[in-house]
Amino acid sequence: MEYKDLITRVQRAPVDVPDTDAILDGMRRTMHRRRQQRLTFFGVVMLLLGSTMALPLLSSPAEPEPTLAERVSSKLDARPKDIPAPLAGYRHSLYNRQIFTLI
Amino acid sequence: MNSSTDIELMHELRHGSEAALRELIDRHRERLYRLAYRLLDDHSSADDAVQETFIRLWRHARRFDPEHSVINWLCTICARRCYDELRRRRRQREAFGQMMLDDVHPDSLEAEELMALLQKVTASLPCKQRIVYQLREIESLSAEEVAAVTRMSVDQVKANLYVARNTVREKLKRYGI
Repeated sequence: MEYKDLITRVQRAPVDVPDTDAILDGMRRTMHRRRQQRLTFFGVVMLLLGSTMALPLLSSPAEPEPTLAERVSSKLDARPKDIPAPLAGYRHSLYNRQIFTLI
Repeated sequence: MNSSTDIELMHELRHGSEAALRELIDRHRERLYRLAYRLLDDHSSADDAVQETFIRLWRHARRFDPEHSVINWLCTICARRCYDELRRRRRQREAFGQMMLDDVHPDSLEAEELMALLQKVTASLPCKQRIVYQLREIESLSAEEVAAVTRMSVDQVKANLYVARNTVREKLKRYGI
């Protein structure tokens, strides 16, 4: 057999081709499956996003930040009461400086 | 049988006509299925390739350029899908170290058996050569059309075809062809 004959016969060889309805059914099934996969994917993403956003709301509320006045008064309260006389002025100025830094 | 031309059907398809889709499938399924089956050598994979081609036709009808022929556009989509599948198979074969060439009876002269023989012989070709050989030699597409399908230059198509044809002829000599 010649090469050309082989090609011609192969070109004419019958192939079982599915009919139009079978192709359309297959297309519908494939598209339906992909839609389901997309929905599942978006569902998982939304669940993850939702849980990420809900976690801080479910946990206990954070302590409010102390105001400036509260911070200053707490520093003043922490000032040692029994400082020896020669050091008192120095220690007080040190605390005053901290208070100014806070302000 | 609808007497509209392919271009008219594409126009209807752009407006969501299922009847136009059915008619286009009816007209072109045979050519596309033959192409896919000859390339992939497997009915199930050929089914998938043809379905995917028509799904793309349905979804991307607006992208069709009316300057071109519908069947060539469909062949391009189908052949690219087959090309991807062949590359995927090649990677799997490399991963598992399997060989595709089996013993084929040289004296079988039935058309289906000759097709099987040619498929076995072309299965060992690199993907690009195989698809070029199939489209140019068996489906009789022009070199320009094959270049458009495979995203190669016309010269590359000719070079690949030359090598593939020589390889196939060399292998067929074993069977007295």
